Amino acid sequence: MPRKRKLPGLTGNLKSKHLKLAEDNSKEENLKSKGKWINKQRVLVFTSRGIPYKGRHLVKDLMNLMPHAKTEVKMDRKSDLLLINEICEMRSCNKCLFLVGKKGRDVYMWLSNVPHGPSVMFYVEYLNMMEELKFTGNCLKSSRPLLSFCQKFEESLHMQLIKELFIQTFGTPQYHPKSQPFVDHVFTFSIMDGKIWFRNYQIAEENGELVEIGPRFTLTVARIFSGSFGRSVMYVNPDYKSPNLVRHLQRKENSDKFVGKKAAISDRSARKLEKTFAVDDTDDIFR
Amino acid sequence: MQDSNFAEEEEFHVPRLNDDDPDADSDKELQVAFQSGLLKPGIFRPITAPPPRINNEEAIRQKLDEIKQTKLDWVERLDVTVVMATNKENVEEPGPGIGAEFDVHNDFQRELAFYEQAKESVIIGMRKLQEAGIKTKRPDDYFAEMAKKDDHMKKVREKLVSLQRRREAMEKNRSQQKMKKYGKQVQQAVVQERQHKKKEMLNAVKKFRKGKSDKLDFLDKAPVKGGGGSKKKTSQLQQLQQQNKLNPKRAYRNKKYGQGGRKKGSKRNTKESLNNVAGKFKRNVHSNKAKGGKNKRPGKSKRTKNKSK
Repeated sequence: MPRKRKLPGLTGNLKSKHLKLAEDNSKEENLKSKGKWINKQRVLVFTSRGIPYKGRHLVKDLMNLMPHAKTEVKMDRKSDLLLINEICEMRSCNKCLFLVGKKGRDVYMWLSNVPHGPSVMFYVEYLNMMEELKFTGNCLKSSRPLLSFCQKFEESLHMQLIKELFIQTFGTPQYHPKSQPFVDHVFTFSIMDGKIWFRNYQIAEENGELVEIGPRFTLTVARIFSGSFGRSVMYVNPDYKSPNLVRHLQRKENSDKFVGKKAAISDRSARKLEKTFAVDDTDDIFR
Repeated sequence: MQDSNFAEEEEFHVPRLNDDDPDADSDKELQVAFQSGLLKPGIFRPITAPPPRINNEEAIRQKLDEIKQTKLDWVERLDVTVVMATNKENVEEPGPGIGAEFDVHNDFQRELAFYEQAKESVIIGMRKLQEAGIKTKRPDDYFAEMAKKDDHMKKVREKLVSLQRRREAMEKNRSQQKMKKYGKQVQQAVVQERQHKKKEMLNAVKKFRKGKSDKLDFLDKAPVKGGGGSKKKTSQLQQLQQQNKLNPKRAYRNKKYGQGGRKKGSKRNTKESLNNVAGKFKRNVHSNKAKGGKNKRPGKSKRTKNKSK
């Protein structure tokens, strides 16, 4: 069957109308994808089971903001982390954002370059979802973000590595089929107080007027691995304290106070004299 | 297997003190140390070794080179790196929130720092994007799905409106309270003034009675003389009187029935009044003119509605 078939008896007027319609369509198409999609990054965003609801919402927000992301069902907690590499391969993803929930309240984030690594484990804090924050900013669902980094990312080698991973993961590739051809928001990564702070702003005006959109979170680097989800440890953050340890120390401090109080009571009772004055009991009888 | 991957503490190799550890202090050693005065009495805590510092720069550099996208243009990556205002060193006027003055736990300062960083990088990024010929502003007729849905934005708007309403109500309340306070002050001043006048008058009468003075001019003076320092208050009273004067109906009636002038025959009918059956002030019931003056106080429902605004 021939692809193009000339319709018999097509009047010139009708023809031009058709052409016009086709032109309009192509205009829109042109806006969408004029060039070639070279930077083929695909990110798998998903969580483990037992994650607090905030982590689940973070996945939702990230999926909303990243057109090049895919998601997967929650992973069983008992299964091996190395399994994620296979899942990524099946979904043809070369980056992975994996959120781990522990004790129903702590959220960790794995950011990995699949399959050859490196991978970084972060502890996630101060997590606020887009839905929860009543910000007035808004952006197109799948437009490309600008990625803003502070100079501190250049100061150490491991931060440079993390920056590179962030660029490849959070940046939407140009001419991605699902993406919109405009740049109307900016992801901000800043290092402050030993944490990486994430903010998302809408570019309201070209002169740099911004309105915040959300979500907000901070990441504390725990460690960096050479492989994807494992292998040798390349970097351990000396300032990172696991939330378990922090809670333990807090409890211990409180218990120390209690133990001290109890010791003071027992000390006092030990010091107390049984008899304050030498009295003969028979004195009362033989007066 | 899994837990060892997840947990933080297990992966560290923490050297522990065992019983057969050659480095461990024996009892005898401790006794000797105590006797020689090296060891002071008190509570001792074992020193836990800090976790080992791992920073394998060589491996990190290698990995970084491995994953770097050197062949890609900037437009594929869109990353901008800027110096944060809080970390700038040679700022002319280090105000609060810059340099040493910066406090991470101050929400306002922190968010401002992020905002400034984003702003600076947007200005740089926009210039670069325009050079590369990438659109930054979408046309007004380009509709697409937004990150926040309409119902979400509606919620946001509602919240903003309710906030504003609450603020307005607060302001209104505050001004009302202020007015109330002022009114009370005025009233007190008037009462005090009256008492002062009365006292003065009584004193004068007493003096006169005891023969200390033989002048009777205080009788003329007293009603005219205002109490000291209450000029403001009298002016307010005058204002009230002026307000009364402004009522034309009252003015007319004062003219007709009030002091001065001839009273005789004033209540008799005249030619005009005879012809004017409805009377001068009777409203024409059938006219659709707006009711003015008579009932200035709105109804109960309206008042409550206004109050809640």
